[in-house]
Amino acid sequence: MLKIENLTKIYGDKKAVDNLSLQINPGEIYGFIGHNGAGKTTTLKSVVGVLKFDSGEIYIDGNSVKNSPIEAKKKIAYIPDNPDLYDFFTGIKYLNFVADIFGVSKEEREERIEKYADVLGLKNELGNSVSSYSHGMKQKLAVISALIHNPKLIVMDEPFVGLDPKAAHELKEIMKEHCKSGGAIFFSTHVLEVAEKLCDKVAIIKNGKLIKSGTVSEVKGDESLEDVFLELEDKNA
Amino acid sequence: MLKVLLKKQFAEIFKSYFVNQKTGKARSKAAVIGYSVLFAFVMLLMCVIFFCMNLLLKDLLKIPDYEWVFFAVMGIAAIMFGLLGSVFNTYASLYLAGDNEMLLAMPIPIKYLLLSRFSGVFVLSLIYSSSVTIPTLISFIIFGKPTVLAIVFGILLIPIIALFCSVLSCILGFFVALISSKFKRKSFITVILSFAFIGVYYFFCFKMSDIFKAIVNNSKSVGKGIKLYGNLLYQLGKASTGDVLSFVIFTAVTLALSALCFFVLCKTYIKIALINKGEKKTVYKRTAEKQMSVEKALLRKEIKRFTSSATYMLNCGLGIIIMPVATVVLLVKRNSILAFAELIKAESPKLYNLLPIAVLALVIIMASMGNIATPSVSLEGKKLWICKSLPLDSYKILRAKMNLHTVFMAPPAVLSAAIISFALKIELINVILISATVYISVVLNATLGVILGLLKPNFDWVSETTPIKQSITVLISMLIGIILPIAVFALGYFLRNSITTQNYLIAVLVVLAIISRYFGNWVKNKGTEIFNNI
Repeated sequence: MLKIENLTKIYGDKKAVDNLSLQINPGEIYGFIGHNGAGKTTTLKSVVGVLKFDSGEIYIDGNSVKNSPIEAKKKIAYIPDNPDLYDFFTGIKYLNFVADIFGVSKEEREERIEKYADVLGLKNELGNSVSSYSHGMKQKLAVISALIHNPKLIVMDEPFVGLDPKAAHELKEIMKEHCKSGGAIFFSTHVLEVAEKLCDKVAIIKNGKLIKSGTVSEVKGDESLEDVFLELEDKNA
Repeated sequence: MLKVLLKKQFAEIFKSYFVNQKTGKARSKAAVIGYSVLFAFVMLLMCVIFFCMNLLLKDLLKIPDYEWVFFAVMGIAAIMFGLLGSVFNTYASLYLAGDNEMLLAMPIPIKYLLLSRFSGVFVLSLIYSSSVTIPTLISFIIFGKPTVLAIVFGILLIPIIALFCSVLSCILGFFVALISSKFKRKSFITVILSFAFIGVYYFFCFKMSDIFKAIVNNSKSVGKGIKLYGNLLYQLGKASTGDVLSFVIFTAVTLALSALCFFVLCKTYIKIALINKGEKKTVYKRTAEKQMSVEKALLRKEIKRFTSSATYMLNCGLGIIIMPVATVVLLVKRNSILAFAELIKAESPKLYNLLPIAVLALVIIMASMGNIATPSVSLEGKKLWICKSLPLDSYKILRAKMNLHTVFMAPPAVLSAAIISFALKIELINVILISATVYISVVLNATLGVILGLLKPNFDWVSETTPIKQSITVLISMLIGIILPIAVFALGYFLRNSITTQNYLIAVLVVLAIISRYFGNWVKNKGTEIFNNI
């Protein structure tokens, strides 16, 4: 579903992402872990085509992000860490805007908006302006807009930040359901317990380099993911 | 702390002059000098315009004991112009700044925060009002008999008048904030209030020549009237002539007003700036959703962006209102204009033949008061990720921005051109040519706006006034919009003996269409490449 080959992104003299490669298969929830400034967001932004990268290749369902960006983007959805949405729209108009761009039919969008807005507890707020939304409500709206076109791959940057416990729980269920139906999820998080419980695979990135990746049990062995992460951080310091 | 805040405020205002918005690096000395020269040129142009205004009133300086009327009248002009420059920004920069919450969460006294915000309003007032006060002082030196004290007071009054404008701006901004906090459609309320202000302003400008003639002819009774009903203006006028007591009174009143205004703003700031603007929340009731094409969805998004911001509409969409208003005024004055045209026809038929070109130039100048497309790229701001992550052809995004401009500007421009042309009895074929050329000029303006926006993007703004009003691209776009029709008219004048008006109009239409096509292709190829790499 997602194949990153030797991705490198340089800011000035600093390599934000250094020769990073990984692969995500259909049905997988893939966690991306690393300290602040490790290169997680840069990698995610490169995957969704928001950021140009210097070398390497990224394929989404066989489409190169570099050479066929529109085809690649049709198959993904992105939820950034800080969902700055169009605050001049109401929630429902924002969702319709995204649905129009993806060419989602009237019936499908109505059904998905109804379903996910209900699950995430945002249904009553959809008629209000996005500018009146709290951070968590914007996050919920971003999640619904990401699901509206039933993407194959969802890329999420810190998706649980700002969500209330119920919404966070529902989001986890939605993520699992999405992967059960053949989709894939690539998300970054600082909450190692969540990564440990939710993910099929994890990758640990430090200073732009991938230092360990694999299934959760391969990465953590008999220890907790937190212990492994801290150990690796010390080792590679 | 205040110093840091002031530094931040000024850095925000003048950022585009010193920092390359694309790379974030400091501009070269040559670029800074280039920008400064351009700024100085615009200032000089405004000073020249107001110097000409002074010439209409200079006779007042020769009436003993009534020279002050000259300064009182020019004082009104300075205050009005200073207000026009700052009032539309005040509400946005005082109450809607993006960093309000962040700064208010820090241990910063409100008075410091407001002082720093106020400094921005003051700078804009100073820029605008000084383009009246400086030529007024120069006129006084040339045509009057100023004492040294009068010149010193004249210099000191330049910032004092700007302060007075800033206070009035803040008061108006406060009321706009207060009223809009009670209504849901804030931007429209702001626009309606502002247009009411502009209406009064332009009525004054339109009647200026008559008013000034009347003032010069009735200077003594006007003077008595001002003294009686507008004593502060009398004090301003007298202060400008070197009267110490009047200078002290005007300065003291301005300072007292500033202090009072500042006190009220401090007391009400948090409530107005942070409390959720009284918008009623509604419970969403499911309605049948509509599906639309990508192009329509993008255009709708741009229209919503434009109509949701009073700052955007007022600063970049002024032409939408000015064109129909000017058309109505021209229709009212039709007979006088036709009589004047007949006079010219009798004197010089070749000059009369330039009338269609003059109409064309006039409408293009009015249409250039709309720069909707220019800031639209930068206005994506921190929301740029949405367009970038969606499966969108960049050209469609840019075309929606150009279409936004055309949708709002073309109908009033073409209608104005046609109505004015018919009213002035211009031949049908020329009416068609004028209307078509005006349409092409609107398209050209839209394309040029997007090009400028792509070449000088700024996504890191805190207040949307930065890309809308304080951006060099908007200034360049406006200048081109004014210079182009003047050049078209000037060239038509020089070629009046070698080419017929009709052929000249055809030539202009063809040239503008070719340039527009070339710019359109540039946006499609190079422009999309730039947008993809942003």
